[in-house]
Amino acid sequence: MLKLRALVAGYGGITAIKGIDLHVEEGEIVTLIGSNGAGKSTTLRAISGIIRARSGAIEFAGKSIDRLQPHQIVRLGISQVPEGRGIFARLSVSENLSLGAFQRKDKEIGSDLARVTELFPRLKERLSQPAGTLSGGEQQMLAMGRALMARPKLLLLDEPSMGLSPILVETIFSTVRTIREQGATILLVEQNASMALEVADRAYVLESGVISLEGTGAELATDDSVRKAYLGES
Amino acid sequence: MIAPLFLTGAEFWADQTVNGLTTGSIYALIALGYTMVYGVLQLINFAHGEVFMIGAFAGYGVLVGMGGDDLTGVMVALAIVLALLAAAVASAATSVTIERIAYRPLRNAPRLAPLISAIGVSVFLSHLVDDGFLGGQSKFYPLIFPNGGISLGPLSVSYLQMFLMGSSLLMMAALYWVVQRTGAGRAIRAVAESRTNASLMGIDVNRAIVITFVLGAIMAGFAGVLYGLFLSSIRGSMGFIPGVKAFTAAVLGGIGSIPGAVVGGYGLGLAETLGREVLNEIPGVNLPNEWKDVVAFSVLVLILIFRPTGIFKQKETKRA
Repeated sequence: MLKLRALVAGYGGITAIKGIDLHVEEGEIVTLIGSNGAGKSTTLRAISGIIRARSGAIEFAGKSIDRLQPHQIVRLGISQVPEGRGIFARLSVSENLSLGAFQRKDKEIGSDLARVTELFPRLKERLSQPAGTLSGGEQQMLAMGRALMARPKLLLLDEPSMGLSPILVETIFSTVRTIREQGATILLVEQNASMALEVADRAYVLESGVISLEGTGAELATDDSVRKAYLGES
Repeated sequence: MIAPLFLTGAEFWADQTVNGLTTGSIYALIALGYTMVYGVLQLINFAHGEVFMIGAFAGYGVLVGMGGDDLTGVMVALAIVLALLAAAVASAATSVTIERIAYRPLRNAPRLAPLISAIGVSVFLSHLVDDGFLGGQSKFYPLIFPNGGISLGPLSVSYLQMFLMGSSLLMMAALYWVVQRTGAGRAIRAVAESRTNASLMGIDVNRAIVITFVLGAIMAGFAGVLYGLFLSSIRGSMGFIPGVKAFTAAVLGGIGSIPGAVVGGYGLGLAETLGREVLNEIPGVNLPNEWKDVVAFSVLVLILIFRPTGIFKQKETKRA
């Protein structure tokens, strides 16, 4: 479904990712783990077209997308929940959700809104509030709910657990599973490696801009080097 | 200083208040364009006064083309409606062209660069019209608007002032509806918070920016025709003073805030009109009309010193 080949990208004089190969198949949850600054967010930003690939290729559903504008990439079915959630603080919760469906013209937007508020009941009570008044956890739910309003084929999640309490982290990860059950494919970037590996079918480890390891979630969770570097074991 | 105020009649102050609200309407309409463009690009579009001027000339062309001073009856109404439409179209086209040529290529340049190109476009357009087409002469709007008005106690308002204030309010209400209730308006507000995050929603950011320029230009073009109907004399450099005043109004209201532009526009209109008259109440003081400008720009200096965020402070959001 999604294929990155020898992708190189960065900002200004910095090359944050230095030739990575990665693929995500339909229906999978794939996770990309690695420490701060390894190039995880850069990878997602390149897929969404926010930064241009310097070289290499990004293909989605057999089509090259590395020259497209971000809004065109959304139209093809790739939505991203960016790092820091990217909600619009001055807009209401319901306006944020309807922006998720910005490209859609169909009649099922209303029923999707009902589905999202069912998935995140906390949002339903706060639909008319400015999104900036939500708590961190609620903002994460809003960001995920908003991305689902686009009915993405592929959902890119950038550190959804960041800054959340352990209970909220559980909620967010169980939601990731629910979203997959409803038919979306997910590429998940995380620093919280233990949770990510638990939920993922396959995983890649990114180190200083290159992929150092790949395997199934279970394989990597038991790999010695991963356990030492990312799961906090000695 | 308060006591002498009552030496002049209530009618006088009622008249001055109406005058202040009339000029305030024009400032508010122009200020909306400054504040909306600032909202999405953090750019002071200093060529916006010329967008207003182009609207005034487009409206003038329609009025004269349809018969000018010879227009009567229902044809006057039709001509004014068409003049307003033509002004909206001409101003929008001008504004979109300016954005494409002078601002978009500088989108990622340091913030001083588009500011300088804005000033360049402003000077270019006002001189192009004044020296290129008019040979330094002014043009005069035909005086076709029905005379007369209504009086209520100390308050008397001419039909032209009523039309000016009423139609401005209608335009502002329409703009508010577009920004608050339509998909395009939501897109503009999203882009104002974060261009990157807006693009992740599938919003074509360039398109949203163009729509912002178009909406602001429609308001300015409309204001241009109202200005012509009210003051008659128009020329290429006519946009400068109202432009800078409307910018002051936008800063007074809180640049980036739409309600702020409206409140700032009326506030500045009232402040400069009543301000001069209040000063004139001091025995021995008789300030000419130009002192309105002194009052208005004193307001700008005072806001910049004491409350640079304006009346409606925009909450800072992280810009990505």
